[in-house]
Amino acid sequence: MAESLCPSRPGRPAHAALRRAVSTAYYALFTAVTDEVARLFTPTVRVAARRLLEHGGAWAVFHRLEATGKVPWLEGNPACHEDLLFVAGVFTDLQAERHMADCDSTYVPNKAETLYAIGYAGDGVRRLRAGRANCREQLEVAYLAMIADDRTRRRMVRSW
Amino acid sequence: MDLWEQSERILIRINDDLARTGDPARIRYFRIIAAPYDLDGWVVLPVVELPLAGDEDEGWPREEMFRYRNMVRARFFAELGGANLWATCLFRSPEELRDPAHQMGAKVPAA
Repeated sequence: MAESLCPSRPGRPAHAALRRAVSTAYYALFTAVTDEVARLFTPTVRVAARRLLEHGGAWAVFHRLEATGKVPWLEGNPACHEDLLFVAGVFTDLQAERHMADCDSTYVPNKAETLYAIGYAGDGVRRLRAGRANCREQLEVAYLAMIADDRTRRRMVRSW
Repeated sequence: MDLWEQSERILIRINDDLARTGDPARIRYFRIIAAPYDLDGWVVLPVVELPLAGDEDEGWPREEMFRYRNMVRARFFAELGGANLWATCLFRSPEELRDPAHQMGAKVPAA
């Protein structure tokens, strides 16, 4: 969808199309994260589980992971796996860009950056899925932290 | 010193480092916006001027943009801490930056 709004072939898409492409790229990644959260539950409750995730909660968790490089909700505060760290960076970058694309009238997009956002979102989805095998425990506790409120998230911290 | 002044100083030092290492990128403008979704925090948005290797449709290699973003973010996290702060970059070619519409934010002064 995002690629159809901003194709890589020569030409200059309209700014409105670039803004929508950035927003669509972010939502592709956000939807992939909600899919992963839903997979924590049995199939019959996954539709309801997908609605647990909010943008702010996901930002708070991914931001903390990238800022500290640690997973504070696991015993021993282990270093964040590279797949999870990559997704954290992509998610927070794209969320900031989506916010500008959708809400900031002074933001002027360009094609190169939009193509970057689309490719980056695709990379993020791939690393998120690779993480199922590579860092399942870290991802699962991150998903739990995302659907918790701030107070509960603080209570989940095992060590600093 | 407030976040604006601290950010400006960090960006000036990054530009110095880029110049010293012969890197063609320069941070020309920056602004600071509130974190989205009413979160308690700020996002620093430097505009990086980066010459295009080919034509406009090719843009820049994704790995290169990723590297600059990580470098800028790591500097902000290292110098200001990451608790309520995020930094990401916008990329513009020298040609684009001649257009005032792309000059987003305040100019980063020379050292």
